Amino acid sequence: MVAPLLAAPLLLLFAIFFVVPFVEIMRISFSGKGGAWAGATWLMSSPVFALVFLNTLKLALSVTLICLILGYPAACFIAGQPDSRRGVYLALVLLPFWTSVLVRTYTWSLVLGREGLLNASLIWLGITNEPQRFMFTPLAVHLGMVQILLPVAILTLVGVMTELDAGLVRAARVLGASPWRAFWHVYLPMTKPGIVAAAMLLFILSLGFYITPALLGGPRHRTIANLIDLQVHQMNDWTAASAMALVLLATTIAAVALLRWLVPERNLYGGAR
Amino acid sequence: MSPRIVRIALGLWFCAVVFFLLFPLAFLIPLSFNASEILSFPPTAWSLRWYRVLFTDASWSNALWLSVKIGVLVTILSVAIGTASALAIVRHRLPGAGLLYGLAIAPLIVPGIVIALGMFMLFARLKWLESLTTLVLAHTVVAVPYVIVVVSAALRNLDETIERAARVLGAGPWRSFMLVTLPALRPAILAGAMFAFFASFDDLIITLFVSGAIETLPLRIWNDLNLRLDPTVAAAACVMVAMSMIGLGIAEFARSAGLRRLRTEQADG
Repeated sequence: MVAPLLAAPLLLLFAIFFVVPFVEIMRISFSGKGGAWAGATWLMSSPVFALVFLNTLKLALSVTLICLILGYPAACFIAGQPDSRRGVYLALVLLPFWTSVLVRTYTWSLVLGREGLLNASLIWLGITNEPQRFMFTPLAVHLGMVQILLPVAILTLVGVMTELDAGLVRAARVLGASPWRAFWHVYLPMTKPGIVAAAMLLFILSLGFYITPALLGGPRHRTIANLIDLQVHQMNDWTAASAMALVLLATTIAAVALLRWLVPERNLYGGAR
Repeated sequence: MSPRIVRIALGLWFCAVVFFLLFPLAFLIPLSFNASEILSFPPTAWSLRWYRVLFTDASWSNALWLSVKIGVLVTILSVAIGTASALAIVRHRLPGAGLLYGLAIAPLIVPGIVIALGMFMLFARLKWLESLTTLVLAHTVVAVPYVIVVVSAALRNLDETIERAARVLGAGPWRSFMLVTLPALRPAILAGAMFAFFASFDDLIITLFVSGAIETLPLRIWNDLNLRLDPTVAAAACVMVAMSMIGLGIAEFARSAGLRRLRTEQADG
């Protein structure tokens, strides 16, 4: 009797502020000026959409890969520490993780700008004579997004690595495997569920990025999220914006489903193959 | 490759990663105490000028206090709604609890821009835009999942027999909740509250679509960044970082206190 009452406020809030807005997106994307298929027609015929969508996928993929490559050894290091010291190292990763995305993006604009730290250092070192342009380049977007998502990669990987049975790696070593073989044939396969889980999370989170590409990439490096904002606030084309939001949502759901299928549930928590 | 060399290499890699994560933030501190109009490096003179602007200039200080106010309201709502639904999901075996949990954490996975767009189009039609109530409830949607995740995890770890013992010994459902369940959940609720506060305090995307003329601190910063580079932004950013550090400290303290208690209870049992 109590349970429905306890859940009622959440259901009411989510109905009005989450479910109905989503229904509104569906309704508007299928009811533009050009009839029920106006949204779909816009998606098919817009060269900008195809380009931006492809760029968003590529950006999400490369950011995910860079975060995994940078994060894996760092997570190995943290997981290899004794319990008493692990907290301190984790705090160093949590510190930036807790800081606002807007603030972290802003700090990159101070580092990469014309008068920024990077240009000042390059000129001081005599590498260049005049300021170089780093802002509004793919490099700037990658630096910003990797810095924001890297803690997510490390925290997810550490979670899996500390649950591992370290005795198996020791057993492989005792039985004569070289450190490299023990890593490649024992440690790495055991962490595979963590790698896939981290990759899934990073890819999904990168797909929806708005602030970082807008501030560091400028108009030439837009993502789907930036294009949605542009259609609403400047073109006033809600049908196009809604259609793109549905595509973004469908891509997100497909990514979740694909990786769920790639990693069966029993393997998601470090089970043996 | 001896294991020692591997350990040193991993340590160096970790240091490099931490440097990459932290140096842009560390760089912010000297810049915010810079006296000049242009944010150039290295600063030539030091002053508290931009902090004075942040706390005295009406457009900045109003934005800061508004963000704090909204954050506190969102936190209170999220803790109440989130804890109640976590109880319904974990303890009371509500039919469809799994589905409800999935819905409750969906705002963490659905891109913020999609939620923001849906809210904007619906509320434009209902004439609900530019209202503080709308903004608080909209922030609560993205803040409440954190409370639900943290509190239901704590509830699953909590030994139900203690609650049952309280009931058997004659406590009513409300008394047993207040005297047994709530004290045990306190660390999780505190951590969830911190997450919820910063989900609201740091939000830009939903605010950008729903708030209209109501300017929160992130929106004030955003509007400034798109026009000119006012050094007050550096001071505001520093204040936001400092607040996050304090929040993280409280949440971590609560979490480790909760873990310690769990360990001693298990050791006693």
